[in-house]
Amino acid sequence: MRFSRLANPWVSEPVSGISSDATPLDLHLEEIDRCLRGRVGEEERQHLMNETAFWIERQIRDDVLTGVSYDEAAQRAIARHGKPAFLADRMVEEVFEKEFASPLYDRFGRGVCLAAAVFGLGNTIYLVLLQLTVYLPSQRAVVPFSPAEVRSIFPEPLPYPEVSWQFLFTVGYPVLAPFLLGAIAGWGIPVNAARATFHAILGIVLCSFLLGSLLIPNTSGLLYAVFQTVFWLPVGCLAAYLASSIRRKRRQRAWKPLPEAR
Amino acid sequence: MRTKKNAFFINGGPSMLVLTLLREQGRYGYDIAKELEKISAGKLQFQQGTLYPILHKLEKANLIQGLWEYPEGERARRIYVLTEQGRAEADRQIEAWTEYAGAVHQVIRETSG
Repeated sequence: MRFSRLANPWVSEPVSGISSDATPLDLHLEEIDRCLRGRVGEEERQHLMNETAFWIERQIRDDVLTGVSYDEAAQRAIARHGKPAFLADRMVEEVFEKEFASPLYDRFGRGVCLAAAVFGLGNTIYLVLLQLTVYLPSQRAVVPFSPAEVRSIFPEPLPYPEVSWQFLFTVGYPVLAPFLLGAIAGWGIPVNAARATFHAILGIVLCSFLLGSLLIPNTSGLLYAVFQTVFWLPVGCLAAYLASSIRRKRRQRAWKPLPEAR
Repeated sequence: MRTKKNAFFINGGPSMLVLTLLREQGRYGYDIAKELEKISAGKLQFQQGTLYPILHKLEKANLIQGLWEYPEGERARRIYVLTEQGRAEADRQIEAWTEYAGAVHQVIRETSG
């Protein structure tokens, strides 16, 4: 897709020697702009694009002053500048990280803190509810079959399946949690959501291992930690990545320029 | 050995260079990178993706301030200037660096025969 040069406000008019068609520089800036749309505030996007265009123009100007042709200088500046999507991601990350000041954010990064909060809360809720479930009186099985019918499917010596609400909760929660928690974390982290979630879950897993070690000789805690390592870690990261990508695409689709911006 | 005192040379070397450059005068982001490259004879090179995170970090720490300029008929641009706090921090870091570099040179001199 080609963009009209006049439709691109990031290329300054004073630069001489450019044809009226879109130049590689136009396309480069347009691509960065496209990657930023909807992901940062409009004012912030304009500032970022102004700084970016100013940076490249200065680079081109410096090269042109040394006798290089404009086109060659522009090509060099674009090559030195880097890939638009990568640069836009860095910019979005910067905006996201600098939005709120906190010593914790400075130390670990806002994305990791957010993911750690989501997964930490989910983990704590499970551990608390698990205690309640364990100490509550056992509930009836919820399957609508008689023991004889169940035994026709699970014959002796297989254990009689326990399908109470308590059992479903204790098994279902850890299975569903990484999907849900990962999606929540990814929804809130605009860039590198999977990486942030990975670091956050590693911390949670470490805590689970410590807790599991304290519960020895009961090995349920350690088993839970192992389960988190092999299931929560990949699934949580994937869910966060997908949620972040989906939100980015939705925001980019929903983006509309401000009347005064264009 | 990594002590608290010299940790910023590992983590904050580029930040110190930016603060040092801004001690002289306010500069645009590109000019900071260009000046560093020029003074270091091309050994220190900053791209936009590297420099702006540093500038934003320093701005967040209230060590520098970014001011928008809107020259007529030209693109809006942002000039970065040191704050009072930034000036004091630059002085402190330069002093610490000089002391550190002097100690390293001393060790090299003494041990290289």
